[in-house]
Amino acid sequence: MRKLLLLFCWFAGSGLAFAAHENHDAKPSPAAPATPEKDIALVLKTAGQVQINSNNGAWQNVARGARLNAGAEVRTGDQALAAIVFTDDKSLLKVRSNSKVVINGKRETAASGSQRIFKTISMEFGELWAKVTKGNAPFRVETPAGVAAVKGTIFYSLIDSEGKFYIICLDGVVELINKLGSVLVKAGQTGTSTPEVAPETHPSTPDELPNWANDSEGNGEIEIEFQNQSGQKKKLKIRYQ
Amino acid sequence: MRPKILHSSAVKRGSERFGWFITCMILALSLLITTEVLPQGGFPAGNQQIEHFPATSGIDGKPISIEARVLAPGRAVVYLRLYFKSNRDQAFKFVDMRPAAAGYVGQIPAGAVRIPVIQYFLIALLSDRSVINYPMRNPYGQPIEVLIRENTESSIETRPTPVPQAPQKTSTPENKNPREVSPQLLDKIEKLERPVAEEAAPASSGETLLAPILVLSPEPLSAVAPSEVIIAASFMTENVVDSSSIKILLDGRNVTGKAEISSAMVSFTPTQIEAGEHTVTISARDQSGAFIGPLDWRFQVAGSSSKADDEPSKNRVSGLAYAEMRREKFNGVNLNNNNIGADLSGKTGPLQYSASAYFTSLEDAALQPRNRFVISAGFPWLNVTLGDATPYYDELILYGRRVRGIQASLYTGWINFDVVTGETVRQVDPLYVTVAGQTTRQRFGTFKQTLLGLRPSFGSRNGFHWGFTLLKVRDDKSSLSIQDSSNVVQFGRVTPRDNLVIGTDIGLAFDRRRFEIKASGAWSLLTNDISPGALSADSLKKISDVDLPFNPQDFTRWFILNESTSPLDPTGKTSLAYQLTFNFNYFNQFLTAGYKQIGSEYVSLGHSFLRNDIRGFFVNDRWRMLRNRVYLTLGLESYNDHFNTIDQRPSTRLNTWQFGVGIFWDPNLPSFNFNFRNNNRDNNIDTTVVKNFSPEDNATRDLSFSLNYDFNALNLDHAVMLNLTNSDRVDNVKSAISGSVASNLKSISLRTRFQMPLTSTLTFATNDNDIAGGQSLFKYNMFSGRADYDFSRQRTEPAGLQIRAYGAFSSVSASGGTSPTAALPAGAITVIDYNQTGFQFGGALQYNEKHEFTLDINLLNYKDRGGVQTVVDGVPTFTSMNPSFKNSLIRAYYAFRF
Repeated sequence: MRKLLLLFCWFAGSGLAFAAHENHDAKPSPAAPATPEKDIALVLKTAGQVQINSNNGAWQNVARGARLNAGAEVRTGDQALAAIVFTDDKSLLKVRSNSKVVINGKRETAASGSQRIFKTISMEFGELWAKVTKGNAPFRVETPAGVAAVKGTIFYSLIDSEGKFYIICLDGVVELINKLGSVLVKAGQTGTSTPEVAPETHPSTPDELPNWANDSEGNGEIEIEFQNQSGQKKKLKIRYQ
Repeated sequence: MRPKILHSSAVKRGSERFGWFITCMILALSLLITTEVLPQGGFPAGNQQIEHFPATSGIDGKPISIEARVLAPGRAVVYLRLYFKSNRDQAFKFVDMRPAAAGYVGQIPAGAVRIPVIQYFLIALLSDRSVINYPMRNPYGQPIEVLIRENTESSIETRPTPVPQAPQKTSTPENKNPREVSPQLLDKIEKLERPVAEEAAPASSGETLLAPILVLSPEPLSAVAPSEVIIAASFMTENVVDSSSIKILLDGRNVTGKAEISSAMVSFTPTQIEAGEHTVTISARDQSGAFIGPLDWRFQVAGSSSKADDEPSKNRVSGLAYAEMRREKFNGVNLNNNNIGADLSGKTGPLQYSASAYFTSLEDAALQPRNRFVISAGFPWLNVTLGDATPYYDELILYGRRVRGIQASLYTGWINFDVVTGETVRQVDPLYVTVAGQTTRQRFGTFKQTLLGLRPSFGSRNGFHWGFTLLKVRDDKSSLSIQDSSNVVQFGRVTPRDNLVIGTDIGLAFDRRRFEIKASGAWSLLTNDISPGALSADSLKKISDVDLPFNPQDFTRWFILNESTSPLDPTGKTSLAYQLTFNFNYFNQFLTAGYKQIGSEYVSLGHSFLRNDIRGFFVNDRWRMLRNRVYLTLGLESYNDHFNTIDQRPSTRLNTWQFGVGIFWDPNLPSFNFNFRNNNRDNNIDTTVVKNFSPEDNATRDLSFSLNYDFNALNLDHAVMLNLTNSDRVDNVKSAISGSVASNLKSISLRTRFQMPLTSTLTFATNDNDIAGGQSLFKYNMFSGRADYDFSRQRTEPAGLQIRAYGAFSSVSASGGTSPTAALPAGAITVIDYNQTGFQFGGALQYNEKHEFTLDINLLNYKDRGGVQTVVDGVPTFTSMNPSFKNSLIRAYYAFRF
């Protein structure tokens, strides 16, 4: 009787321990696809053809007042513009014509107790201007040629036809990173990044400094001349409206 | 509701503990207060009063909305008036409050709401010509004071520096295109990224990003094109927002039903918005029931109306029309009355217009008009008004008198001209009663009275201005014929009068009227009986020895001089009035000082409440300290009442000094207000020397203390208001009947908002009076409770439909009595003892913000056991004075907004 009782206790204890271990190590059952964060940004203004694609649905024209969830793709047509504000810190984003970006964000609670959104803009091609509120959530621009991590700044970002990633910093600091290195792009500097070369910076020339984000009504064209380390120059024509 | 801001943990705990303390104190005080007390005198028809939750603060340049209810069983309300004035004004102005769903509503206009304080009180005239007021005691001398704060960009205040918490691990954000950025690179990026500072970053609007509501668009005070207007704000609270509680108002209009709402954000894109300034207000609650906001901000819309409209709107009209029906049964007698009215305002190009009308079944040809109508139209430089106007030209001459006629104003800033003419009093026939062949005049008739006011002026009140005012008021002597036959018994006479007043005023102001000096003077001529007509110059010389260089009979169009004219001798300056005031608003001080002298014979029929035969000075200083958290008030007045002692009656010295402290330390802490006022009246009469006049020597000390506090306890939001008032009049004249009066008024109200859409209001009030040194004692005790339920906050009913219901209970008891007085037979004692119990219930339904329907049902039971006890032939006899009664009232109200 006593042996049976001990055996029973051994089996029960083992069973409990096994169950606890299983719970501890149990992989979660495949979760349903995570619901994207809602209302992370708001479209303040549009001009021309601006479309969004949410959750791999169809492309739809969008007007001011449209809300963007995490994962929303935004593309602009010829002579188009979209101005977007993030709901946690009023960081502003302007997407120029012939561009395509993906707006991502993850809500989190900061140490201060405030809500903030960890923002990532994935840019396939085109041009954008951003004014990131200082001291708040991280803000990144990701491209195939590199990633810009922003700390609270105003900058232009563009990808040329050859896939080269440019950051033109007007205020604050942008950290430009690729797998080969990183560099801080400060106000008045231009940073460049390609998959083959570590990021570089050089003082922005007057020709390089765009101003289309401040002129939303006029039409015009600017040329930006870039020079790589070997002295090779390239001109990038940017039409704006 | 004042803006609610989030606390740090420590402050929140402290606030909760204080809230518990206050809750316990309220319960204890309620028990203490619920003792005997009586109002001054018993009211045969039960208790009548004005119910009102006083405003506690305002913002400079923004109107203050005032709501009130009038409880007067057996009586209809002829009007409820809101009187108000700022520190710069010497006299009160008024507006008539209009019937609304919740009783009556009125507004102190934005132009009158000025730093540092505004005073107001309420007066209701009932159908039996009785008057009730709020505050109940001395509303003119001790009105409600509302602290006015400076107009900042946003009404939200930054919250205290939060207590640092352990940083939380940030997770890798979603990446739509993992092929472009490898995990190794992401890992490298995370290691290289510096930790982000947690300090708050000031946003461009001046608000902090730690604010619970973040304005996304438009930027406060920014100018936006009409086609680009989008109103949006996000919620940044720790707790999840209850999206069903989110409200958004645009220019006071509830547009929640048209907005897009989530727990993270609210946005509204107006399809049509006019150019000009607009105000947005957003409020919400989190899932624990705590309030978030309200936050309001302003922005400008540039240019014309929105291009989103196919047809730009040039004409814009808005307003409301309302109808009210009251069916009352007072002790079996039907007392019904109906009211309808409308307010309208609009704009057509540069022309602005407005109209207002109010018609009541209480209109009676035997009384002065109770209907009102007015139409006004014009431009900023020219305005014409038809109907009932209330001109304010000069504080000594024409101020607040209703004129039914036409008023016009031309304003250029350099040369200005105002004119008003019309009827101020309408003709009413006297009332005669014939009993047993004997006719007696029961009521005097009234002459029709007309008024003409002219005021040319130069300059502007913001700089230099100089104006002249002429007032002409005359009774139409042919409008009333007084029966004067021998078989009519009549007491006294009513005579047609004529009044001419001329005056001038000059003012100088600097630095946005922070320094201001004004002087005005006026002279009046009043003829008390114009029925004999005007005397010639020779006749006047015989009567008064005044030698006039002209014949008054040639100027009867402007004035009529005869024996009843006052003054007959203008050189005596007895009808001269002047005043000088000075305002100084610097260094956190608002200092006002002035001197005035109003002659004994100065009379202006354009300002009915102006006291004459008085002179003296006043000084008042309001000092803001500790960043407008503490206010100190010091005041001194010294007047000589009846300074013209030509009739040998001694003048009376009136000296008043007052001291007040207001503490508004923090929106999350109680605010306090303490005032002390001492008023002395002394005519220095020694009865051993002066036989023909009564001595007067008394001092009245008024103490008042009020506390207002919004707090959270038991996870509920409360607003408590505590008022303690003590008034003690000490009569220093020894006489058989002492003139001393002591009164203590205590009241406490508690309003609670529950997590469900329910609001309750509990009120206790007690008033006990000691008159004539204990010869009369009156005690009054009142308790009322009310619960309001808002079905619309549950969002279960169709969109655009809002339903509210309420139930209320009230109980009033009064007791006391008087000892034998000379007015009663010897041995008579007046006993006051009554109880009044009331039930109220009703509801309101609002549809699409256009239609509003309200139904109220009041049931009242009044039991009076009071009367007079006498002893007749040794037998005690009790005679009941006031019968008991039941009262029922059904009120229906409908309003249509357009």
